[in-house]
Amino acid sequence: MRLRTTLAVAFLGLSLLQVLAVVPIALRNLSALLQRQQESRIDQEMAAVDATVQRLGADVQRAMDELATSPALEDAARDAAKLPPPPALTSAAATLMVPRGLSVLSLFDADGRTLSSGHLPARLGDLDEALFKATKGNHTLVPVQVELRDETGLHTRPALVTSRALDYGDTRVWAVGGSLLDERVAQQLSRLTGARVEVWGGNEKLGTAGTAAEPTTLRTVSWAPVAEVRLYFSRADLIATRTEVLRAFLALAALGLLLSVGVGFVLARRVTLPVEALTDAARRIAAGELDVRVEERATGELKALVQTFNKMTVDLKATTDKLVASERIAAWQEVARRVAHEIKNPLTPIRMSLETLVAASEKDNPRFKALFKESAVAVLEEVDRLKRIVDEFSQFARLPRPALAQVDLAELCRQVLALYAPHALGEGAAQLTYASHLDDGALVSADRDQLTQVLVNLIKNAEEAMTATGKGGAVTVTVRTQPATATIEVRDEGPGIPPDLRARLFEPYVTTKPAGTGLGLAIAARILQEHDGKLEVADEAGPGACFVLTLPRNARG
Amino acid sequence: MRVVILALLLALPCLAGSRARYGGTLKVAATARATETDPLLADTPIEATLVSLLNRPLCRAEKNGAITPLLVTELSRTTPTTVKAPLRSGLARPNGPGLAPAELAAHLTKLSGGSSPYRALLSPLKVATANELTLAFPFPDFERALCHPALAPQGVGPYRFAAQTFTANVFFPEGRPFTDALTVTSTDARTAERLLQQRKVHLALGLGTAADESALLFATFLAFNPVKVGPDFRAAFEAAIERSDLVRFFVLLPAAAMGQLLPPPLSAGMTEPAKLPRPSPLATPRELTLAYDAALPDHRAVAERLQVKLHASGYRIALKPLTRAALRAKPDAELALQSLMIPPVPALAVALALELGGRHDQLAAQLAPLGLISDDKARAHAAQVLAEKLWPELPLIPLYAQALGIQAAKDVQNLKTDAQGLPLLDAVFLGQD
Repeated sequence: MRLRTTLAVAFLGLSLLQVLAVVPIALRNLSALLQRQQESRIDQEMAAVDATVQRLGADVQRAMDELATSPALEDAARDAAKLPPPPALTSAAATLMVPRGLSVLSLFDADGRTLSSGHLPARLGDLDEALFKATKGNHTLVPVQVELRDETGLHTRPALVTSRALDYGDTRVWAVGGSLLDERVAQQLSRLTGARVEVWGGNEKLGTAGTAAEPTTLRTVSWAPVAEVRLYFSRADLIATRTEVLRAFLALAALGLLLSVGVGFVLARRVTLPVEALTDAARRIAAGELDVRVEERATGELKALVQTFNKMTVDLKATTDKLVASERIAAWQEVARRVAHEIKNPLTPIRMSLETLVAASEKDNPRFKALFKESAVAVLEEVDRLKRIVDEFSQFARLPRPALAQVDLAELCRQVLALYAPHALGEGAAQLTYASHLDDGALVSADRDQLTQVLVNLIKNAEEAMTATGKGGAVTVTVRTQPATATIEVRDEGPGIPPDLRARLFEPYVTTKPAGTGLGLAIAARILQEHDGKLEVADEAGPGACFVLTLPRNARG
Repeated sequence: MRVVILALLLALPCLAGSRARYGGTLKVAATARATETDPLLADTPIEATLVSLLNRPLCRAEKNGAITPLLVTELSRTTPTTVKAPLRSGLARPNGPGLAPAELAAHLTKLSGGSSPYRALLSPLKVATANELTLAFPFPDFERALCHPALAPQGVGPYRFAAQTFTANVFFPEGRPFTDALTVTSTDARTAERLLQQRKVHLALGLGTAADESALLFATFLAFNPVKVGPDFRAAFEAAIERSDLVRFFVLLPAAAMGQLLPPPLSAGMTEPAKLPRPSPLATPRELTLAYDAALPDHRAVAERLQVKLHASGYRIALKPLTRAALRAKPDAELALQSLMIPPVPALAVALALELGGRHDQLAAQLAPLGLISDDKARAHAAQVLAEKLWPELPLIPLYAQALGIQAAKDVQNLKTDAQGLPLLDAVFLGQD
């Protein structure tokens, strides 16, 4: 992974880590805060509910106090003794109840017999012990179950009632009145709190008002054992708020992540640009381009690194120039030594032949003519040798560019091997033989003449190596094809190549032959190099040497 | 002689004060709104009173038992099963042609085959032709049945109604009403009483002070479907409901509890029904629906009372207010309050009870033996015995009987009632205080 990518991912990971670490904590704290706020709001609303309930009771008490002192109740008490009870009495409760905001009102005689009932006129004349006994003499509010009827039947409903007594002469009339805990209470409390309010009497839901989206929080107001008001406060707002905040938080976190990635990328770029420039420069230097300079756009340590690198390249170029110059001098010295050595060797026989001729001429040696002929042959041989040396040097120095054409390596090898025939190294001596294993279809783009020259050179080297041993042997030429390459192996059964010579075998002037110039394998290697191929010595465990020519198939075709 | 002359002279002003005087407007306050105009449906005391101003039956049953022909010249028997009833001529009606004998015959035929419970009164009628009615069996009380206000043909009465005023029908065969006009104000009892005290009205109908027990003929029954209510309903009812409480607290007075199938004026001497054992409350509440007349406050109050009191016995009763026509057309209701104007004749009252109890098919069989009894008292007694026998059999629970309470100003003269307890307002004239 590139440094820039690594740094960007690191920035992203760090940011993500921060988000993952911060978001849960922030959300938990936020939820707790919102929860506390809602609990506080509900507490306030429940306080208002309590106040409303108190006010409801106070209204009942006030209405009953007013009723107890009203002339209307006195009239009812006066009529209570009449038989049959006048309509004014039997309808009195209904008449007195509504203007006073009461939803329950019954007038009882001293025995608890109903004289008039506003909420249940059908009870006239009956004992209503449940209502009468629960409230008789009780000026406080009492939660009781009150009988009511509607078109569907008789029901009991919870109510808060209180009683007042009025004496008219010897007649005592009890007024028991109050307010039903019904849907109106639910509506009132729902309007006050915005909650869904349910009024329950035992297991029966008597009224409901308002709505509250789920989930909800339940609070109750109890008038045990007759009634309970359940207030459902919606927590949907809380959830919605938390969700909104979470969304905003996540959006900001995502934005932060993006920014982190962006900043990280920019910073990584700033960091990696000099590094990449250094890498590129190092690569170019490795390729021999020693004039490379890296722009000093970095800061801090990177800038120092770039400066150091630039100084190093300058120093390296200077050192390399010096080294090249030294190597060139050394090469020239080696060439001069070689040339001198190679030229010096033929010069000595030439000089000796000429001195022999000069001496024979001065002494009129009768063998002068024969000597002249022998010396002339020797001189010519040495001159030929000098010429060959010069040609090889000249060829090594000015190797022509290959003329590429489609070459079938198997067919090429067959043509070359056709020039060689098995033969004995001497009378009764060992045989020198030639073998081949040629895969067809090994087509390459190559200069046919240059490849022939390489092949001939290698076979010649093999012959010379096996001739030198006097044991003979076989020269085996093998052509193999691989998907991308084609190879020619030239194997002999000679003494092989000494290990200390393997590394330098393709350098010029390296040879194992006493009369070799050491340029043959160097020229062969260079030809292969010019064909984008290579010439190698295979690592052989046994005796003999094996040279492998590798060429790309249709490399330039 | 001087003494006699002096006495006559002294009596002259008194004679002048009691002499019938024509003219004037009789102002009436009614404590209930009269909504029905069909005599078959206008059978509450006030409604019957007001509807009888415009529609009179063939005859009038007098309180003394006599029958006064009104639309017919006579009611006589040529045979025990043939009633001669020749229609008066010139029975003009405000709208349309005058009443003809054939129309009267058709009217009676239609009633006897109709769905009204009052058809029971005509159950002996076999054929009605012009001027003559043929009975299926001898039935001496048939002429009294013809006098029932519910059977009156429409359009012939002592008054005609126009522009919210009853104006005197000068062609009424019995003679024109004494007053030229009659106005009715519908109001509540207290206002009616006040209007009367302030002399803004001459008569107040529906004030419960009149104590003429012979007029307690407007009976209310609780009809029930025996299959729907279950076997113990009657016993549960008797255990839960005090009829005296109904009368005391929930219905318009004058009223009386009705423990027999016959209303109090007709049940004198009858044996009290045997007390039923108090049943235990139902283990599983029984859901029932009680239909009642939406136009009658009494019905609503009584229905609520029944609903409340029967609740403890395990009957969950829903109330269903209906128009009177719908109520009468619902004979198979689970529970229904039905009020009828009972004629002051025991045999006819039994006939109505049988009809209301869903025994129309037994009418002839039950009434024919009564018709064979020629003596009125013996026939009345036989009818009472029959009523006692039917009491536990019919799906009817008698509740209470009401009469029309009337209060009149001092200047109202000649205020009389018929055997049904309805005032004869056409006979009233306004005198001086």
